[in-house]
Amino acid sequence: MTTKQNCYFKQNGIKYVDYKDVELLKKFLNPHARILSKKKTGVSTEYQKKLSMAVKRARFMALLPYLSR
Amino acid sequence: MNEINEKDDSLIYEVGFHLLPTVDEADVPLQSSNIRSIIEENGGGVIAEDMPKMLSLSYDISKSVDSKKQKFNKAYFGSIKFEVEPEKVLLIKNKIENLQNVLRFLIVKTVKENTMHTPKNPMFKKESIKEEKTVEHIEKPKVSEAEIDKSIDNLVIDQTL
Repeated sequence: MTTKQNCYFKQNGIKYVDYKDVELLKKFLNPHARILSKKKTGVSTEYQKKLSMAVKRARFMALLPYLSR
Repeated sequence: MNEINEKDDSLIYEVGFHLLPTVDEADVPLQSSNIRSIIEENGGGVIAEDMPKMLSLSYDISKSVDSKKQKFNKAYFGSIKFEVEPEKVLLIKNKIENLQNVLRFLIVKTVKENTMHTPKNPMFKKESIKEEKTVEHIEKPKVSEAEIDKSIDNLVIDQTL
């Protein structure tokens, strides 16, 4: 059995998700600025945790909104 | 081998900070160097530095300046990546907290390598194949001005007749 690798971070060889990389993080948010589920984006559990941490740091630093619309 | 690398990585930190927008643009590098000097005083070695740039914030941040609470929707955002012993981080944090021109800051563990990855391709969207439209250039026969004048004159003559 072979499973297809869908994780964006693994595919692109990204090891560290930086909170300053706002343009990248925005791709994983919905229009209300909530984090998209890994079911929708295909991100692996490992990177979903890193991603959510980065988004929360970016929110604290006001680089991303807590909520929009 | 991995353990050694992880230990090395654990010593690398990054401070991201917002400077007050009231700071004069010429003084911004000075404020940034203040933070750098705090790191260096505590035995830290600066690896990389992003000079503060003005950006609009996603929401208003309030800070009491001269015992007056003020809201800011813009700030100079910069960051410094540095290497330091874990025990010294708390000292650095306390010293940066005392800086008056720092609106907000965050110290995080990071890695030595460049961590910025701007997405090249749009995700979650089917790649639209752009068909290159080839515009056919039809070469028009070149007609000199004298010939055009002649033909106009002929037309005028015909009409008068």
